[in-house]
Amino acid sequence: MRAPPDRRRSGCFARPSTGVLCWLALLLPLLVALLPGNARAVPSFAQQTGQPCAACHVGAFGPQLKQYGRDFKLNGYVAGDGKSHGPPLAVSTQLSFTHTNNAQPGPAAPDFAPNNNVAIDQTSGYYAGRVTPWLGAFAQVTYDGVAKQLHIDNTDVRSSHDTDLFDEDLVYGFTANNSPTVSDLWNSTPVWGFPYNSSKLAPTPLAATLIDGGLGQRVAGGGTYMMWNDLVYAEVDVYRGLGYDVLNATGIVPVAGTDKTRGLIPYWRLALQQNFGRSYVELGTYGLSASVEPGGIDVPGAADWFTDSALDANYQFVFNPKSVTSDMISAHATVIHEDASLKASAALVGAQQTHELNTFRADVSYSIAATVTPTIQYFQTVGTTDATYWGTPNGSANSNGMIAEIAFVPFGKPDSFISWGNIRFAVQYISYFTFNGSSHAAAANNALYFSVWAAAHF
Amino acid sequence: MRFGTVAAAAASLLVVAATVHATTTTIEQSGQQFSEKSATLATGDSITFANHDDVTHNINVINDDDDATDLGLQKPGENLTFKFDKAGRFKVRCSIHPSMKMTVNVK
Repeated sequence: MRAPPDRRRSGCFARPSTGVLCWLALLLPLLVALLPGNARAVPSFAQQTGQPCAACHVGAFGPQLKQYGRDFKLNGYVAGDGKSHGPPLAVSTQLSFTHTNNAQPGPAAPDFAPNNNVAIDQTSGYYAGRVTPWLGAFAQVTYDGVAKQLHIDNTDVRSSHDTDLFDEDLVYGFTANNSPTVSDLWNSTPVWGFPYNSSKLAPTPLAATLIDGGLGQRVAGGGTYMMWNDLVYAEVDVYRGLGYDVLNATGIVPVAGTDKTRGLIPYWRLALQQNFGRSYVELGTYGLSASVEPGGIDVPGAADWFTDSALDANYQFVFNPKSVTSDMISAHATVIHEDASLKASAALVGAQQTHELNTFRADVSYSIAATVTPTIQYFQTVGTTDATYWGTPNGSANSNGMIAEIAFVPFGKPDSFISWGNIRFAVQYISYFTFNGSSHAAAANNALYFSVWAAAHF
Repeated sequence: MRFGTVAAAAASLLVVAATVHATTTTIEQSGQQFSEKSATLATGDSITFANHDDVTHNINVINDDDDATDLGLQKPGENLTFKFDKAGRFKVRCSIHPSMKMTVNVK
């Protein structure tokens, strides 16, 4: 039975006392940027390089990268205009409104209503830029306004160098980071893939591969990468799961009863890229293999093993390469195949001993003058049916649907009268054809998400 | 005395001739790339870098000893000229755009 719509004002702005704080959090980046002589560019990467957001990012706002953005990251976040800008500190915040087709049975999250929620999704602080001439960092600390929790977010510290190999350029380096694919250069892989922000107050499918966010901030590791002749990219990293005490200290919750990884987790990445005139193409593969204790329970002699193998592709077409505000087509796709051996889960809950899970996503956007960027994505996850493992009503892991989004970014261009800040307005609609194995009730989870995302540099 | 005068005049002519023959090559910066990946010059020749992008560049010319000459920030539409007055192999880089790479061989 469909629950009656709940139109109560809820969440962040529910009470006048917290409402003021909510508005301050939203406006903080802009207020900081307005301080004369203090704030200059947004984010800190832009200030360090003297480049507008549109030089690095499709649609003049992160995280979708253009060629220059990928080069900047590949070369260790250290490229700059030769001037001294002080520590590369920045701040951002996201305010949102979420409406789902059907109200949820209970609160969408503690202190929120079942539907029609206004929230400060998150407020983040960054150290993003050069540490030394050979060391750079993207380090993010986030206050999650829905979970009401401060935590360490995406972090990638890297050192990059260049030399020649077979008379061609070789860029190589080292990365220390806390999530597989956070160090990746392309937006086809999970951490930086579309959608770039989404509601934390709308239902999401239960089944996902391990590499698709399952290890984010719950591991730490590092490795080495190289790009040869601007053609071949390779990266190998090794991760180790963080203990419950470390997760508690870094704010990664929930902790108790969550999965633990055992031993080392190898991650690999190989990609080929090439420009063909105004077109850019990338084809690649990536993956990892990990041993997991389900629920953090040590089952003697048994563990769950996951091996994720993925293919990905990127295509970009820039209409006028001389202009960073040129119209641009950008497309990404990935398919992730997961093989799982669930001996521990079989012993604990009677799950089937072997599972497969396949995820496919493809999106395409058309950025108009780096200002208005409509994007559409198809997503699909299909896997082994197992009621005891997935916890879905019919045991199915299957979900699929589409996301349509339109984003508006007024600043971040060479001629923007504001060079110290940027803001992104976006409307996103998620439509499910199948949700957790059910197609007839899938549309109840469809969600309209309006977000305002502001960023500034200190 | 007369021989010395003639020799001085000849030397002057050579200098003038060398000056006359020094050439300037124009390299475009477009799409955050140099229009050429390499160039071969004679000693005393120059390159004019023409910024056809709508963003700032910062060209550095790096000699065999890894000593860099920073040509400074170059705004959109600006031209910068650098004279290569010593023989050698030079790397030309944009400190802002790491993929902008060019090699200049000066003979």
